[in-house]
Amino acid sequence: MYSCSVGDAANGVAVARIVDSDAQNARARLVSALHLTASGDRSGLRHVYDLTSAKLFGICLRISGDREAAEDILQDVYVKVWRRAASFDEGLASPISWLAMIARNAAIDWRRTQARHDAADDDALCTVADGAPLADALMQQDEARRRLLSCLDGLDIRQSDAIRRTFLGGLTYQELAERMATPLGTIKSWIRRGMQGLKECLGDG
Amino acid sequence: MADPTLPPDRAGLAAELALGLLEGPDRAEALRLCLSDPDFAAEVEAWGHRLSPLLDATPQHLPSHRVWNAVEARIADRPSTGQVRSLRLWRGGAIAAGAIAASLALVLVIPRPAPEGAQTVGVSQLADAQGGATMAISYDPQAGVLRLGPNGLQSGTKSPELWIIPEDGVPRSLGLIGADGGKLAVEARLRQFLRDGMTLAITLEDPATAPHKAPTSIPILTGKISII
Repeated sequence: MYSCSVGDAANGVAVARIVDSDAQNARARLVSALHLTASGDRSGLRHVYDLTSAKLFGICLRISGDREAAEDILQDVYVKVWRRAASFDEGLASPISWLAMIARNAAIDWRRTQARHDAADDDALCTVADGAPLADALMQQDEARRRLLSCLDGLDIRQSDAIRRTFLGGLTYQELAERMATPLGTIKSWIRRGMQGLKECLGDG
Repeated sequence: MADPTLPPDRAGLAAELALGLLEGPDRAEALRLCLSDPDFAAEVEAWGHRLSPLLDATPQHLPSHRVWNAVEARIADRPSTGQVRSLRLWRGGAIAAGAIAASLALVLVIPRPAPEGAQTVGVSQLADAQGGATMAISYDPQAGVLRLGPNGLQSGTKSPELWIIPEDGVPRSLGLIGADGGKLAVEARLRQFLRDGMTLAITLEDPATAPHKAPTSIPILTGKISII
């Protein structure tokens, strides 16, 4: 797509190229900020923070359901990034995916150390739309996202619903069974079959 | 991507861990598998990559300024200058990848004590920057015992010695470790240092005079402890 010849420059194509180039630039900036961080330069981490904190805070907030807790988690996330930046491998993950997974896992860990959650929190969180378009050039994993969503759509609706709610809501099996008013054994079978189906659909099975 | 030979049960467990569904003993068991079974660990990581696009659409929110201020305070690392000469050397070595055999990322997981005194087991993983050599360590904070995986680090007459380097920058010997791994009891006075952010390092030393007061060589492996 980046190598489209000038002759192709119909409006749609031109727009796509500009967006892609923004995404590439944003990604390159983030990667170099991560490299700087890995070298022990604090300004590198500050740059990573400026580029990604709103995104990562959104993830922490989404999963923790508590603004104050989410800020504590976010703090931990950037301290982890400071310590782990050297292990970031651009060949394995896009920089924003790498950071997003650190944030998500930190938020999940926080939830696992909490006692029972207020059911209202989870219900409120589950009403947040997952399909909102994002303007941020950094977040463009369009192809990967399109593939994943299409594979999720191909699953039994109950399986895909269970997977989405779990991944984005940070629920345990027990919580998921309660939310979906379904026996635990059935939920486990939905998850395992759904994840197997997803893996096959994505071509990794 | 991940090893297709992973047994279905293990593959299912990897998916469950990646989704965050597990809690309590099931979660601890899956975290242990992450260390002992590289195929399992690879599958968990592969799930992270597969599912991460779902996070793209999470709405963004601006955190308050206190977050960055706190991060900055926590990464400020100013060991007193008289003590850090050797640490500087070590850090220099750790950063210049070519200067040492491997630079390790160490992740030490110490689950919070479960209610009713359920067993608490910490696990950790060493993996080098090139994705080659890995070394698994688990830590049981109750017993104060490190369990080390095989590392094959024996070299001629020298033996690998494990060091913990806390905030003051002074390396303290945790003792010699065998090339085949095994258990290492941590001295009571050193247990306080096995926590988030501290550096672990391995140097090759003369076994006859160990444990040493200070390392005599640049570490062949280093890593920071991160409690997840």
